[in-house]
Amino acid sequence: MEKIFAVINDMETDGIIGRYAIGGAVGAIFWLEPITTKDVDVFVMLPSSPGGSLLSLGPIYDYLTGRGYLPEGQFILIEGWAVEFVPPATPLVEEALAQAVERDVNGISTRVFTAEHLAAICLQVGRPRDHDRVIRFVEAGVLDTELFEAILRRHDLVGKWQKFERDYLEP
Amino acid sequence: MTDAMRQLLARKKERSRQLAMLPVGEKLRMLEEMVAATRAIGVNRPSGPAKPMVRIRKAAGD
Repeated sequence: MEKIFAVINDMETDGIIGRYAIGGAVGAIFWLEPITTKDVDVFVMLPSSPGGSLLSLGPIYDYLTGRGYLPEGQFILIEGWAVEFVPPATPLVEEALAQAVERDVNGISTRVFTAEHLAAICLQVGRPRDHDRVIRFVEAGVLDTELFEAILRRHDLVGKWQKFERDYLEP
Repeated sequence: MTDAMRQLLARKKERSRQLAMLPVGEKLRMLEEMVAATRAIGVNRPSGPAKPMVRIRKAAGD
């Protein structure tokens, strides 16, 4: 897996992508017990094309296919893993990307969403598996209460959190 | 919920906490093993049920 992080670091250094951070299930593994997943979600800021404001994943695909990595649907296979590059689609994910933290994985540096942002994103998305992950974050005791509640307030998620607590966390 | 069930859940939570505290490199290696094991199971997947359950979503007002 750290080979993937090295490839993405090279992309950032070479200016193919802007700031990036690992999210999704692999991001969650940085804070939680290992949970299974089939793909790696990489959230990226994309440099706008010269003279235009349209953002395109084209340069990412060109760069990676040039290094022998093949596209498969919305993914690119890197070192045996389906990797998806995702531009931030909500203010919450934008903030998560801006505040992502550096982590070392066997000597390779990478950036990952904080536990508080990952939990807030799961709460916002709200599928059953996202709810399950929020419960894991709470039970693992890895969320800083003040940071998490501040995120919920900034992104209008307090009501959703109160309902979630009633439905899933209260004994 | 019975006491035995409560104890089982408490043990599972504690195990989750212990696993969460492992180094990230170790956890990602475990993920790789899980994915490989899942692929191996997929290769030997048994045939499906004779009468598969079909999920039916009711329309509003049904």
